[in-house]
Amino acid sequence: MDWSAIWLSVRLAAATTLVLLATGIPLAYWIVYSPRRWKFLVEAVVALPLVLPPTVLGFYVLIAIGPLSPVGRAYARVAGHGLPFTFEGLLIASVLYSMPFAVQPFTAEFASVDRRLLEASWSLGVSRLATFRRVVIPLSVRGLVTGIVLSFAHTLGEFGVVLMVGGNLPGVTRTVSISIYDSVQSLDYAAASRTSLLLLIVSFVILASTYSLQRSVWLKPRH
Amino acid sequence: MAEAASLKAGPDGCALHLAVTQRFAAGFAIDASFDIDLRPGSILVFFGPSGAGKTTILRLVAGLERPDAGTIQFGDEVWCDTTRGLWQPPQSRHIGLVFQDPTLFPHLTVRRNITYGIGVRPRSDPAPSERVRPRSDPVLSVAEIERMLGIGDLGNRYPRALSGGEAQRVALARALAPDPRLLLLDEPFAALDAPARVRLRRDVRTLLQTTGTPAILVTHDRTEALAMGDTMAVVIGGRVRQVGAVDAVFGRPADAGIAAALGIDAVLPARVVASSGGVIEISVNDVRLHVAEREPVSPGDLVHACIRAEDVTIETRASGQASTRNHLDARIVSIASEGPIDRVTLDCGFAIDALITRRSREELQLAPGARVTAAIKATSVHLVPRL
Repeated sequence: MDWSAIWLSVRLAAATTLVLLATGIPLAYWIVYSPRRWKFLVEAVVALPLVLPPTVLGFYVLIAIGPLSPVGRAYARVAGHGLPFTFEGLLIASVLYSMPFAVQPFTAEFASVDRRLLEASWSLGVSRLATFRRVVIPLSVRGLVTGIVLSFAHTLGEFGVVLMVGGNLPGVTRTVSISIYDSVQSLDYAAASRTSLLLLIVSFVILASTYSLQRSVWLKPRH
Repeated sequence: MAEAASLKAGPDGCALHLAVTQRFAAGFAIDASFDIDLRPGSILVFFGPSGAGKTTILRLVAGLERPDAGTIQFGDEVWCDTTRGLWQPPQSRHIGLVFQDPTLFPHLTVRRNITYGIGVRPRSDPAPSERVRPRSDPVLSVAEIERMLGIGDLGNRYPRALSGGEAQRVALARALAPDPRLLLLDEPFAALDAPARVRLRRDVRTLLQTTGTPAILVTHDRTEALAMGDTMAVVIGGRVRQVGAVDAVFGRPADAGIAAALGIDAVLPARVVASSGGVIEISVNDVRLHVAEREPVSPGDLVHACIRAEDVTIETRASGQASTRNHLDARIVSIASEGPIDRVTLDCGFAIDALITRRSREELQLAPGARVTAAIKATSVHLVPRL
């Protein structure tokens, strides 16, 4: 089995999930509570990866971080190498690609918190940010867990975007799905089957444990 | 300037000044203004029909709604002044807020719900608030508030394990624990069953008088307004139509629309004189009335006596024996025709209306100035004890 590919996929999925947790929560907060009329545009952009072919997304990311764009040139000047075909470039693409899988559950859960709880908190002198931390986050544990798990599982299995942005460099950008593709290309069906089965089992276990957790009462006490 | 004069509160009281307009998409609009002095521990009732805008005005006071234009001032603090661009968010108004439903934080225990707002000082806390009332030394500790509300044993429970009445008591304790300068109550008793409602009204009254916290109570329930209110603002169609002491507003509605919103009864401030054998004797302006006992009262209690105009009959000479308990000497003040019905306003030591048919009026030859007897059955007088 291609353990370096598995390890790379796990690292990429973990890093992507962390970045999405850090960026997705403020973004979802903004989508739920902002009075801006044009926020539907932001929601549409966040949801794009759900319908766009991964190759299209990957193509644009490749252009955006490559030497043709100011961003890519600036990064290359600072880091000494370009972003395409590196782990960092892969991470940027993964974050964008998995964005809706984190932001949408976050948004749905934040929006479901009774607004009067927030008003009660504000009237007790607690700031909007502290209210979000003390009331909204604890009542949104299900949505946060769902978003985290879906981001992780989704990144673990991504293929098209990786191929476009990362290529196929062993230990750097060759993830599990690329490795399976390679095995099949070289007619090594046994290796492909082992890795595929592993990915299938891991994905199933993650999702099954998430759904079972969501059923339990302690996550969100209901009246 | 009349406005400035009315803002001068007594040494203990706090003036609330509000003059705001706010339009909503559905066409509903608030255009409300009033000045009132909120004495410590007193209750201002926002009274009016459902959908009149009472709750919206309360939310404007709380800072949960922002008016399109206008000013809100409490004591010497400006909470909102759109012309000067001043705005205090709800966090810095130091208010307590209780909704119709308890809306407790479901993930926190009762104890942590109650202490949620304690020790929270917004970073931008304005110094002027300290002038209005020192908050460093609350009158009641949390334990005392819990005890007075009878929820001392519930501390470790979660809100989902509480009855409706218990949960609303916890919500009250949560609002009062940080020692707010003004308590805002949005129909807080409406969702409770009758016995729980009556008990909680009494406890709230006691608590407010102990802490000296003034309160605004939104209600569309006359009994509640009469039992709990010291002053009232009648809200109809998004406007504050009349402001004053509860007795004064019920006694002298400013116009027919307000009278209709208040209901058709005469509401008379009265005192219980005696109670025996199921009959209560009350004194209204030194006129004695007999009332059938429906709920227990004691001599000395202050009550409102409510009498419907159609329950008042007019006799031209004292009849011999009748079951009617109250026969009062009266003078006809005026007679107004309402279609086939005439509204006869009587002065029998207090003002009261009688509704009679035009035919009766003609047969009895009633005219303003005539001396008559007003008869009121003891069972037609409804007492609302004042809390």
